[in-house]
Order: sequence, then C-alpha cells, then structure tokens
Amino acid sequence: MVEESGTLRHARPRGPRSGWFPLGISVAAVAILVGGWTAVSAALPDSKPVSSGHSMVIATGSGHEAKLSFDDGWELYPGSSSAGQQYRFGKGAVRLHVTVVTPPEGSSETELWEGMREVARVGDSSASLTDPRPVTAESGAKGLTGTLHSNKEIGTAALFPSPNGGFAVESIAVGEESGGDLADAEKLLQSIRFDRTGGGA
Amino acid sequence: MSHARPEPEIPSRKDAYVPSPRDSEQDREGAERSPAPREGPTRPQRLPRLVTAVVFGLLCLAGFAIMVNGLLGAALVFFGEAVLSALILTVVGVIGFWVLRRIRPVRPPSTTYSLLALLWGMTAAVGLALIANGNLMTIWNTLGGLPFGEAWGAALSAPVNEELLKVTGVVLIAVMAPHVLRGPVDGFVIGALVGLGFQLVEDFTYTMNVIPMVGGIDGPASVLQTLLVRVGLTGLGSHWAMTAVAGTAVGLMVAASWRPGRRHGLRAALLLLVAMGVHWFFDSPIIEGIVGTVLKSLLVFLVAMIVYFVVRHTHRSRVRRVLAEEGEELGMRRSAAMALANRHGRRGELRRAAYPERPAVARRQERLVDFAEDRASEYRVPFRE
Repeated sequence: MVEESGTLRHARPRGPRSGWFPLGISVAAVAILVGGWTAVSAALPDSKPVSSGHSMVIATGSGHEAKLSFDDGWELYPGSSSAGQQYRFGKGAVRLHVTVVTPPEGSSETELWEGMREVARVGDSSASLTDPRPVTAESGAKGLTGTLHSNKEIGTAALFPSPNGGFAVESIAVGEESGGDLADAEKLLQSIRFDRTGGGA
Repeated sequence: MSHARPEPEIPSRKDAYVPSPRDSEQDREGAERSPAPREGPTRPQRLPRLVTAVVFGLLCLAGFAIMVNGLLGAALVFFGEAVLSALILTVVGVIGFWVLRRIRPVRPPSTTYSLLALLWGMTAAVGLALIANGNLMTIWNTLGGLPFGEAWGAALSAPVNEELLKVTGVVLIAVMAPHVLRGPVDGFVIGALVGLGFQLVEDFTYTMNVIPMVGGIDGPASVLQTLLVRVGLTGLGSHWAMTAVAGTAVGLMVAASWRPGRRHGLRAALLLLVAMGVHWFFDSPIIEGIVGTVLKSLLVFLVAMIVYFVVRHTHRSRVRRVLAEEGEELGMRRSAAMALANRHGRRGELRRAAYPERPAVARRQERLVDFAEDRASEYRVPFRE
C-alpha cells in the first residue's frame, strides 16, 4: 500500500516551479560564497610567526633574488600577502608592507621614489613621503629611505633596486603615532641582500 | 502536429506576407499554444519577480559600493591612467555589447535586460567576487602557504566564486523576465553579456593594479600593455565566453520551468562544470607564458563556440519548424514562413508588402516570431531534438 502510494505520487505530473525556487538558490549561493568564505577565513589565524633567524626570499628575477633576515617576534599576514609580489609583516605595533615592483627598463632610483610617493597616496590621500636620503644595507645594497607622514600615522619608507635594476623592493613601515617603534622595521630592512641566482641576465 | 484551429477570417494566400497568427486568446486551443509570456503575470508570479528585482538591485548596489571603495583611491591618484583605461574599455564594451546581442539567432535580446545583464556583471558579480576571492585566497595562503596560494590560489578560487556569482545574475534575470530568458540560446547571450560586464570592470581593476606593480612609473604605458594582453590576446576567450556557457545551463533549466528531467538536468550541470573547468584551466599554472595563455584563451573560445553553434542550430531549427507549421495553417508559403526565422528574411518579406501596410506586417511578423520562439523554447513539449 505504501509502495503503491509512493508510485502514484511519483507518477503525478509536476508543474513548473515558481520563481521562489531559483531566487532561493541564488540568494543561498551569494550568501555561501560571500558569507561562508568570510566565516572560514575569520576562523583561521590572521598571522603566522616567522622563525627568528629565518631568511625569506621575497623576490626573484633578472638573475637575482632578494632576501630578508628576520629576528624574533615578526609575523607574516598571509591574507594580505602574495608570494613574490607583496607581503605584510607585523611586530608589536609595527606594520611593514613590502612590495616587489618591476619598473620599466632604465628607471632611476629617483623615478622609483617619485612613483612610490604616488602609490603611497592610493591607500591614504593624506600620505606624503619626504625627500629621500641614501641608505646602505648591511649587505652593501644601496637604496633610498625617507619618512612617511599622513593624517593617520607616521612611518618610514625605503626602496632597494636589485643590482641590475630588473626589480626593486619597496617598503613602508608604520607604527604608533610617535613613530618611535619603527626601529625594528628599519633593522629588518637593513638585512636585505641580493644574491645571484642561476638564470636571468 | 498542430493543434491550432483554422482562422477562417484570414484568407489562404500563397503570397501572404504574414497574416495575423492569432488575435484573441479564445482562438487558441491546446494550452501549449498559448505562450505564457504573452499573458500578464498572475499575482503569485508577480511577487517572486518583484522580490527578485529588489534583490537584483540591492546586490548591484552592494557590488558597486565594494568596487568604488576598492578602486577610488587608485583612480584619483592615477586619474589620467584611469580615464585612458575607462575610455578604451568603453569602446571595447560598446563593440562587445553590439556583437553579443547580434549573435542571438532570430532576434536580438531585450535591450533593457541586455543592459541589466551587463550591469550585473559590472557591479554585483565583480564586487561580490572581490570579497569571496579575497577570503578564499586568504584561506589557501594560510593553509597551503604563500607559494601554493600564488600558484594555485586563483585557479581554486575564481572558477567557483566568479562563475557562480556571474551566473546568479542570469538566474535572477530569468526570474524577473521569463519572456526574455526562455531557453538555452537566451541563456547563452544573457550570460555572455554578464561576462562582458564582469570582464570590463576586471580589466579596469587590472590596469589600476598594475601601476603600483611597475613602481608607479609610466602609468599610461602600463595601462596600454595590460589592455593589449587582456583585450587583444585573451579577450576572445575570457569571461564573456565562460559565462555564456554557464548561462546556457540556466537557459536549459528555464526551458524546463526549473524542473528538468534527468537528461536536461545533467546537461545543465555539465555546462556549468565545463564553464568552471575552462576557467580553472585558464587560471591554473599549467602551460604558462604568453603562448600558454593564448592557447588557454583559444580553448575557452572554442568551447563557447561549440556550445553556441549547437544551441543556435537547435533554436533555429525549432523556430523554423514552428514557423512552417504556423505558416501552413495560415496559408503562407513554407519558404516565406521559414524566412521569418532570420533578420534578413523578415526584411525581405517586409519589402514585398505595400509601403502603407509595412507597419502592420511588421507587427504580425513580430507576433508570429514571438510565438514561434516561445514554442521553440518549450523543452517539455514533444519536439524532436
């Protein structure tokens, strides 16, 4: 009897579904894709500690690779980082954004600094960089550094072109309002080194 | 077999241009001969359409706000580059919009809903995808590490998020306007327009993102190079093509009144998976470099073209068959009736009419073609495929 009822129920012709069905599926899809991934992402840790003494390759190209050597207390934020392109590190109140840029051939350090001034204003229209002064890393790599001012924060900026100019490592570090705790970031940037790799020019 | 009652008031003429197919609902017999879109929506149908329109509008607004928030800073700092990019992409968009509407067999799709499809792609789909992709990329970077995220993150995020968010727009349009999206061929074209809108805004974001990546130097050259690659090299097989394939799946579902049998259900699922699959392949690190990118793009284009020609052929055959049946009943020459299945044929038939009669003939053509397309989209009626 039960089987017969079931058979009859299945044999009954079913009419078209109303618009509520596809609408419900659509809203559910949007909710899962936007809300679901947000929830999973929020459940994961924001940052991962970087081992003290670890030397991280942050850029490779044109026959060189750039490395930073970390001391104790630094963390990497994977959600704001992309291998070989951009990284966000943190230590205490200090936030350090490192970007790897591939400038047009023959670009000078000064042009790179002027470009960096513009890029700094994208995230914060009040941000401005002071005129640069030369800086030399512990490895002997030469670059430029300057101070970042904005309505929200104070920081320090630096850029180090690779030896053959194929790419450059740019960084902006911001800390508390006083800017007094940026020494850790400056120390980290002083550790930058460019080593030769097998391929490239 | 036709179920229509003869219309004695219309004389049988072998040279008839297009006699009125039906002037009143009462003249029709079988329910399948009364295309639903001609009737106004009943109250139970109106409510979901209204709610869908509200959801559509809100999601477009949300997506627009997300995009403005993400792009305004860069567009203000690199204003000249933003204008250059927007101008070029506007030209690309106008051409793409015209071409994609033109490829619909028989008649172009509704202008209003074509624009709404473009709007969904340009706002809701791309804005919501930005959030969804950002979160999913964070998940891959955190769980798999940065090198894994860099290599596979896009391939494991974009096909799922972007294809589903784009095709959601096609579904919403199908609910809002059942008379506009009636079958696979409509799904293909509306999907292609959603994808075009998505592609245009994505290209704009790429041009803005690439400027910091080259150190903020020589922005106009970066914009032009980026557009050369994204429009010139890979534009042929990009989002418009992927969403056209996914939209065809929605068209199949619509044609079956959202209750497909096993065969149509499998076909729809397969089309959606193919759209996601080619997107995955495009974003994957398999076959890299310019040559690889072009080959992947061509594969996406090829898949879209295969789907297009299949649905085009099927739709045109069905429309011709209905027109032939209707024409026979109305006393039209078979060739004259079937000629109405394309723009050129309709123009030709119209030119044969005396000049003062042309507006009326055009209206009758419109009604007959509308009816034929309605029936051609009915996958539940016993058509041979």
